[in-house]
Formats: sequence, structure tokens, C-alpha cells
Amino acid sequence: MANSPRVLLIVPAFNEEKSILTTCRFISEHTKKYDYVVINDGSTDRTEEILTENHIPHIRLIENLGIGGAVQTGYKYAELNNYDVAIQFDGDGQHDIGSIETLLAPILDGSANMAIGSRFIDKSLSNFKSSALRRVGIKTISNFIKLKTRRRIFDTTSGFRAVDRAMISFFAKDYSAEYPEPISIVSALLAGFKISEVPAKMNPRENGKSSISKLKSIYYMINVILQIITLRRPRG
Amino acid sequence: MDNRLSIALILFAIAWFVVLIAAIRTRRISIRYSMIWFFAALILLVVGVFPNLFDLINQIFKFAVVSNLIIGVLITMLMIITFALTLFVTKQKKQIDNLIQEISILKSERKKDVGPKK
Repeated sequence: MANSPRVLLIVPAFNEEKSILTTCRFISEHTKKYDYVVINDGSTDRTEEILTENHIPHIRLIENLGIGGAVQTGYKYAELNNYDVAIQFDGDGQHDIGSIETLLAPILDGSANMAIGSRFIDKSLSNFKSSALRRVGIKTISNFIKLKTRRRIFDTTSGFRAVDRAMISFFAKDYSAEYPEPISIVSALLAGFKISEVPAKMNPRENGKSSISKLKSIYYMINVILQIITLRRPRG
Repeated sequence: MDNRLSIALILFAIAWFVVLIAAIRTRRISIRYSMIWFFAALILLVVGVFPNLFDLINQIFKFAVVSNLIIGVLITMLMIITFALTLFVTKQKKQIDNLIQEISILKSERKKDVGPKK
């Protein structure tokens, strides 16, 4: 990875007609040296038209797969096209383009296979507001991950992450379809990959709402905890 | 066990076999997934032909009436079949997801929405 690494930003988007163009303009203005691809997860609004009209590199999923399947498509595309690094960058404007270099650093110097942009390492960076209940949820998941892998990861639900070539192949093959953020952390750790958390700025959601409503949060917790405790170390 | 219940079970099992074999012959059910239904029908047939078998088994389980044991066995069978179906569905969901992803990448490349750049 000595001479400039090839970096791909994976931008999952589902019905993001209001924010997708802004996000993509931000990306192309701030990170000219990196490629990006929008994964249009079977949007039913004007997302596809906007992407096509503006010649934004994108893959239109012929059916809606959910965030896990959409991001995995990005990893498959990254693997097919021999990218050195893939970064998940959400299409709703939550992730901060300025934090990308920080996120890339541990991958490029080889100290980690995966870098997670964390809201909790340097709290001053983020004006991200989350409810007390949500913080308890994230903390609980963090504890379960600690129990399972003996590693402490603070921001377990952050989707803002960079992964190296080995992790790209790993996730291209197997990536949780349901609530993949915490699960992929555990499966990566169990497979012996190194993860580092770096401080990242995150913005409050501009348009659209979180994929997890209050009603679903109990279901979410049970689902994630069950997935974490049943994950197995890969053989061989 | 009542003789009439025995006869009903045997007739039902035979009808089941006929339907199953017809479905296999016309390839409406794959042989692989028909096996579980084959064994289910077989159990019904055995119960019909040897009703005393269940009286014997019930000496272990001690249901008040033997018919409860039979119903219990049937419910257990259905649960096993339903679970097996859930396993199939899960496997197929993974395969379908993979197909959707691969086809979507290919289609988008062909439309030049995305592709190798210099």
C-alpha cells in the first residue's frame, strides 16, 4: 500500500432523495482522490433518477435488501474492483467527510484491519445527540461484545468505518443481514482481525429518521445479543 | 385404540402417499423436500396398522388416553417439519440475497452507472 492506496467510499442509500445529492457533492469536493459508489437499496422515491441524472456512480439493487445487504454489495463491488480500502459512508449526511483521513490512518499504517469512527472517544467532536435509552443500549451491546471477545469497543452501532483488503473479502463473503454494525465487529474480532476505534465527528440526521424506532428497540436488543452470543470463531 | 380410528388413519396415510407420489412424479415437489413428508405419512400408516404399538409407548408417557399421545406425536412432527422449512427458507434467503447483489452489480455495470475508471 506504499503508493497511493485505492479507496472506495460505499454510500448506502434508501429513499434519500432529499440528501443524497448533497452527500455526493460533499464527497466529490472533499475527497477527489477517492472513488465512491452509492448503493441504491431499491429506493421507491426519486433517488435513482437523481443518481442517474447527475452521473453519480451507483449500483441499483433490483430488490430492497436492507442496510446489511446493501453495504455487503459495496464490499463485493470493492473486492471485484481490487480496492485496498473500503469506507462505509452513510447517505443521510450523518457521517463527517472531514473525519475520513483520521479513519484511514490506522488502516494505512497497517495497525488495524478495521477502523471505527466513534462518537464516544472524543465527545467534544460530536454534536450528536442520542437519548439516554439509546446510550444504555449501545453500552449493553458493548458489554456483551467485551464478554464474547474480551475487547472493549465503545461505539458499537457506528456505521462509519474503514476496512482493509482482507476485511473487504471477509465481509463480501459473510455480512449480517440484520443490524450488521455490532455483529460485524464481533465476527471480525473472532476471525482474528484487528479493530481500532478513532474519534469521529457525527452530525445529527438532517433528513429521514433512524432505521430503529422506539418500538423496535427491544426486538433490536434481543436480536443483536442473540447474534453476538451465538457467533462462532471461524474454523481453521 | 378404536378400530375406526385405525382405518381412518390408514386411509388418510394412503391418500397422503398418493398425493405425495403424484406431486413427485410431476416434479411439483423435489425429492429432497418430499422425504420429510414421506416419513410423516409413514408414521401415520404405522400408527394405523399397529395401534397397539402406541398403547405400549403410552405405558412410558402415561397420557390419560392414547389419542392424546397420537396428537402429541403429530404436533411434534409438525413442529419438526415447520422448523425444517424455516431452515430451507433461511438458506434460500441467503442465496436470493446473493443473486440480487450479483445481478445488481452486473446490471449497473452494463448500464455504465458504475464501472472501472482510470
